Amino acid sequence: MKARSSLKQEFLEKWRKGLQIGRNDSTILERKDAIKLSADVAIAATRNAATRWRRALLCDVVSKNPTNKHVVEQILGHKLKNTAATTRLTTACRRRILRRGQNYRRRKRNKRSRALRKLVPGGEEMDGVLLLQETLDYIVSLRAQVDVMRRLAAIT
Amino acid sequence: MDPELEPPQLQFRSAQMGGAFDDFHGLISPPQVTGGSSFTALLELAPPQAVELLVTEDFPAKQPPPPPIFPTDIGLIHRASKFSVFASADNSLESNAILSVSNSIPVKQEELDADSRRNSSSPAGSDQSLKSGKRKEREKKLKESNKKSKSKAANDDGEELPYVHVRARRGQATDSHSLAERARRDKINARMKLLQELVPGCNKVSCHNCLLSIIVSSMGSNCGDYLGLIFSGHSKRLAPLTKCICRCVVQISGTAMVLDEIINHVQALQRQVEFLSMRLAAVSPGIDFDLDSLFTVNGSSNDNSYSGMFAPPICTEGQLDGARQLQLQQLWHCDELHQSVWARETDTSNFIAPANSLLSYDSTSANSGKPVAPRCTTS
Repeated sequence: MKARSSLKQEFLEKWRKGLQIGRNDSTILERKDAIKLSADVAIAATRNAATRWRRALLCDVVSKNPTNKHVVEQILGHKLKNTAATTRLTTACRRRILRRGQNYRRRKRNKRSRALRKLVPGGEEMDGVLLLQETLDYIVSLRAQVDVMRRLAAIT
Repeated sequence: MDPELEPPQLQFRSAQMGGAFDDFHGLISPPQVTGGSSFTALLELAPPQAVELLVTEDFPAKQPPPPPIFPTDIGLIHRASKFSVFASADNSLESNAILSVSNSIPVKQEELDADSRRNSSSPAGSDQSLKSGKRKEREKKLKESNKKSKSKAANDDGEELPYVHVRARRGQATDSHSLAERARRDKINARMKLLQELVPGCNKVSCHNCLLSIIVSSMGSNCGDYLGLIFSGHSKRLAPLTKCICRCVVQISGTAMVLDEIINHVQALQRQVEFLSMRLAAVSPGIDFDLDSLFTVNGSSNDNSYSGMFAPPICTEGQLDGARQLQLQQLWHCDELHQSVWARETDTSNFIAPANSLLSYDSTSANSGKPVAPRCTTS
């Protein structure tokens, strides 16, 4: 598929960009984290960054470890303008959703969607329909990512 | 005309669907149906009703048989009135809706009837079966009553009216749309209350969606589907209700499985990413080498590249190997995808070997002809 191969190649390029940032990691775990980080950011940066899970993923990445920011920025090619705003929005939305989540209905019905929200980055703030859409896009990107990484691992 | 005889007559007319008296009779006959178990009874009653309801659409020209005198006349009136009060706040409209009948059945709307109902009613819990009967009635009626007007309906016994007259309540908007809205709302509320009484623990639940979802989940998937079928017959009037029920049904019975699958898939993919990144980290120190060569390699199959670039294992750092092995094994144990992943990768037993080999791999720059600038230095 043309689209998919271009997505994969795009992902590969961005991943490489992220890995090029010199990092002297001693332990394998650190290296693994760096690789994973670059891969995640790269896959999140492919295509349009309009999907929420991408933005949420990037913001989470940056907020967890501020040193990652330059990685993200290099991969993205531009500065993350709305990082702070997005994280603020995230927490506010989360709180609001949690308050509303006291509803008996949600507790009953959304057990599974809660599990799904935990998996999809930024899923806490999505409603049902949006969650499924984002999940779809996320799954496609994840598959591309896994495929590329697997090939790379197979080669090396 | 005997006013007292009117309500039962009208009720019966409204209840029957061109002669299906027996079902109605069957509906109102078991008055002792109460409690949560009654829902199944309701469901048993539902099939004939559902068939009726679905058939009602093309029911244009049937003449109602003369209304028989039911032994439970007064009781019925009483229960009906109780139910009408209980079901909605708009008593008069409710009773009007109750009294309104299908197209071909003439309807007599008299304020007297409504008043008598209202006056004689008491806010007590209404009978289960009566409620169900009322529900079916209202379903049928409201489905077929497309137009409502302010005027009183003529008292036509034998005449067929093409539409239904409903007297508007004083002081209320008499717009047909608002009337329809109100009727729909009342119907939904009434049904909600009915279902609320059936399912224990639903009393505190106010939202319709949650209630429906609870009920559907309690009933199980088959009943849920059946409910969906019942309600889907009245899609015109029940659009919001049907939608939420269908959503509930799909969510609980169908999409639940789908959601499970999705969750598993996403989890599997994320685990794969973890695993692969760990693997690449094991390979790593020269991981960012040149991916240009890997571009071309990626185009080709995995096996070719793998076998082509595989260097004989050279164990240079045994201690690191041990740690790596341990970590990798830990990863492997907790990864259920091992089988699938390894099945696709050519060689699992050689995993450590290539990892070792690549320690020297990078230095030998066997990667390709392109000059490698090691950006990630080996520690």
